[in-house]
Amino acid sequence: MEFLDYFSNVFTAYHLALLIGGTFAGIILGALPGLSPTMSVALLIPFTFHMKPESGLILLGAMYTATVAGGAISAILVNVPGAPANIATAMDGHRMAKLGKAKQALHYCFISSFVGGIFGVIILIFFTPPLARLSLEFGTTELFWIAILGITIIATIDSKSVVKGLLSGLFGLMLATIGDNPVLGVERFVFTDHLEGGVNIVVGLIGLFAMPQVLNLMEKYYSDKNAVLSSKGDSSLMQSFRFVFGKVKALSIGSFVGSLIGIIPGAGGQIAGLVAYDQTKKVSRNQSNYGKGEPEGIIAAESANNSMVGPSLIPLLTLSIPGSPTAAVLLGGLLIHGIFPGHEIFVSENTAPVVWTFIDSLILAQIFMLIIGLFLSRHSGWIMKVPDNYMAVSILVLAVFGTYSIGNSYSDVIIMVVLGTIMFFASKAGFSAVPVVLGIILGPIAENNFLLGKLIGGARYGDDWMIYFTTGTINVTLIVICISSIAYGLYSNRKSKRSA
Amino acid sequence: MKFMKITKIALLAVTSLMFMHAQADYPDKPIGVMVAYGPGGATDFQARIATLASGKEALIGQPIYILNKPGAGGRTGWNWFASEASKDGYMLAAYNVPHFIAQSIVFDTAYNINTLEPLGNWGADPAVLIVNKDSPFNTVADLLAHADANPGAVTISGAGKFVGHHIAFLQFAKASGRDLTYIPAKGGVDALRLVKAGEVSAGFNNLSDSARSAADLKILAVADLTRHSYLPDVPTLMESGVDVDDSSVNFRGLMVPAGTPQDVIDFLASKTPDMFNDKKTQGKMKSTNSPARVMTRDEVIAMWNERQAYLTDLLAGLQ
Amino acid sequence: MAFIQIANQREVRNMNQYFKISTLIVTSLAAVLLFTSFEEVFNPSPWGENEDYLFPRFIAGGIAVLALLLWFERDDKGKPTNFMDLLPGLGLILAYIISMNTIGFYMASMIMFFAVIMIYKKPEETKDFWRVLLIKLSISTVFTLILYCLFTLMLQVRLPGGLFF
Repeated sequence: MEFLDYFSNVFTAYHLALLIGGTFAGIILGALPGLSPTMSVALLIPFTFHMKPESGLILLGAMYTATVAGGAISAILVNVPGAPANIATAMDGHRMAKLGKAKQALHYCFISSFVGGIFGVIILIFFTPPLARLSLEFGTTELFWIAILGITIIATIDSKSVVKGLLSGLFGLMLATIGDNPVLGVERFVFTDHLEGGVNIVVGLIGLFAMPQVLNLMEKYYSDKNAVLSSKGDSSLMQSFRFVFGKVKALSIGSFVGSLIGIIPGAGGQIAGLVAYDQTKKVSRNQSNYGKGEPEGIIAAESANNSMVGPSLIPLLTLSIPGSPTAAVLLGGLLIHGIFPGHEIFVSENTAPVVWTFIDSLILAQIFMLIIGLFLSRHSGWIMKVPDNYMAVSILVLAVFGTYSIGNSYSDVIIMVVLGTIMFFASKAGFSAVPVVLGIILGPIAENNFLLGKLIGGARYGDDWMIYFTTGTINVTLIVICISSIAYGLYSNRKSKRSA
Repeated sequence: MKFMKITKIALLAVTSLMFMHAQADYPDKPIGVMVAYGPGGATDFQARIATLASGKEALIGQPIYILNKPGAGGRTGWNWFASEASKDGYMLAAYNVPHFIAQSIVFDTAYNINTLEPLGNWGADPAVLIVNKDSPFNTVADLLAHADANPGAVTISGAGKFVGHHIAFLQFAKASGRDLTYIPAKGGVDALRLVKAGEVSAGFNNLSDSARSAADLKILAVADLTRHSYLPDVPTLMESGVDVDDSSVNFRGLMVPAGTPQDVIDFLASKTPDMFNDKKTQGKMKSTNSPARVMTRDEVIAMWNERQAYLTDLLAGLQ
Repeated sequence: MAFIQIANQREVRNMNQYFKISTLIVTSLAAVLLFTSFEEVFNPSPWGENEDYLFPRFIAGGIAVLALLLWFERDDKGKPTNFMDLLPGLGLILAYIISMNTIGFYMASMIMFFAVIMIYKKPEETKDFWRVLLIKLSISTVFTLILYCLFTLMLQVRLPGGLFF
């Protein structure tokens, strides 16, 4: 119960102001299309430089928590996910908004984010030592199988045709091979200097989601009636709470999958939302509603996103191994203040007060995130009423800004625009952006870990390097899950075809 | 006599005025430092610490801001720096030796030691040979004995190809004459994870990161000429009987593109060592476990040339 | 407007054709990818043995197989594109991206914002031309100023500079 001793450190006027300010700014920044959580935390690090360690960390932690949830706002209202984590939210959230239920969608999103977030921090407080060991068990081959598991959901996620889904996914995997590969030490498919840095995940995300949306709004400007959506079935806050807490299955799958993916080094919350969404969909009774505005989809995806935050700090704080890209930036924030991750970080006299204060502030950050988020949902209806021409150009400018600021790179802007324009025309022919992004995220994980595993396996077993991939409890478990995921996908596909 | 004295004073005044004029002109706005790695990485935060004191009037007299241009192991940033950055002294960059020199030899890059002008060096992070804390190896000799018995089965991780760790591995394999396997992970953190999880037999990694993780690791040797003050009990590779010098040490410092006016280079080169030696900066370097080593422009030029010659030779052997 | 509607009708008629074009593009993309991923075999790298293109080759093979299957997909006909309304926007985006590097991010964004809301406008907005122009100009300026305060002053992001900012 050590964490209780340090709550008083958080309850100072300065720290509370930092927490509220950080949470508020985080939700706003997260909601801007183009600004990902990793970006926001990175932008903030120079500011924390001159603060005391615990103050700096409180601000960064609040930011991390809030941007992950804030990304859902733009996903729901304008169909542009703020981060890869919010892709799954966009699939059902935006369709709910189109049906006039934007407010409910936002309510569900923040409430389930809160539930998942608290669950994640509790995991962080009580189960760090055993989970740190578990996190090390996820090695090269395990990460390879996790990437394969992610790839198995590509075919069926967000597209009617399996062939087109797979094609989009493979296109994403191909995009991911462009540029430098550190494991091979080569540059591939660099036809022009602009491609040297490859296709960054967030650049791809902005291009594939924001640009088609911009072009869509322009194309349909005269033909669409730009109807102001009346909100239907305006439910109260209490009803939203009751609804979300009634969806025990979606909430628990989301929180559990999110936490598990959080502790896996490097896999990142990027896929937590999508994997949880897919799992919840598979066990759901109203599968056919997914992708058409099913609230369960939002609940699963958002609880997974935020439950990932706490556990992603477990390998970071104990082993100096970040569990998500944002955690990797946080590592820099810790080191700058001379807080060195290690097993003794929770007990050492120098670091314990800072770390426990930080963790306690994460609990409060969840609460503030919920309050501020629900408050903002009440007042975000006007975004739906912004005329299409203003909306199109605002998304475009923010997308260009977000893309440029990731690597201060003009090449990224060009990649974003070209990719987005291609995606716009491809979506006309029935291709979806979701599997493409999934491909960009999973491609390097699959390829690099395959190559490393082959090298290590080769050194251990010679020509029988495959043994390295097929032995070990986690490997076998993952292979079984992969196979059953494919089998179940085929089965339900046939079943739905027969019933159609 | 008196006339001579007056002319002397007048001359002095004029020259000092001219000198002051040159100084008053530059710098008159904040100066950027391009870091070719992402925010939060070791190069990034060390660059922020090293340039903390730049605003002091006696030093550069202008604040320094950091511009991150990550991508392709640093090549994206350095290519941009050598070909597109302004050559007026308002855009500096952080260098990582041996990374950029090795890359300029292996890849078709816009930069090499002739298109860049060093200003000063702030840090030197040697590669260390590490094994898991549960590993049966306690010395370099143990590891080599195992390699003798099982050729090719000893795996050593490092942060990708053509970086300090890879150079250290190549030197180690060459000098020891053993058949070892290099495992190029995606970045230093991943390379460290492979060792901590026991997936590889050993690893080359940064001294600063490894010293922090002492609870999970055993550090067998330092790939430098002398022992390091952070790890006084750890022998160098040479002491352990493997003839590896300091060519893999990760030097970090500041540079400008070639073509920058000579007086600007001279001004910055005269100020940067003092800036790095600032008391607060050094204190912060120490508290963040960042090994400092301040070198002047001339020392860095000599070091660059030496590395260029050596690495051309070493990497040619790979083909 | 009538002109656009005629164009739309023609597009509708061409829907099937549109789908065939997309299939054709995917197939040729697959061929190009397959070819480039095997290029290594014809021009071996000086660094000797490697599996550099193993993974891309595998993906390209998959794309090629699926591209052939795509010819037998019949359930999705694709949607028409309204090029008449889209082209001005695409042109503006191109100009925006190119001009960004010379006149600076904020200047380019302001001009872009103004140009888009001037070109894409509802018929009722054309009545009082100067009034609308003035209002839209001030909205563009305010929008850009907000961005400047948020990004440059508060977050201290460095964006491509140029005129004024």
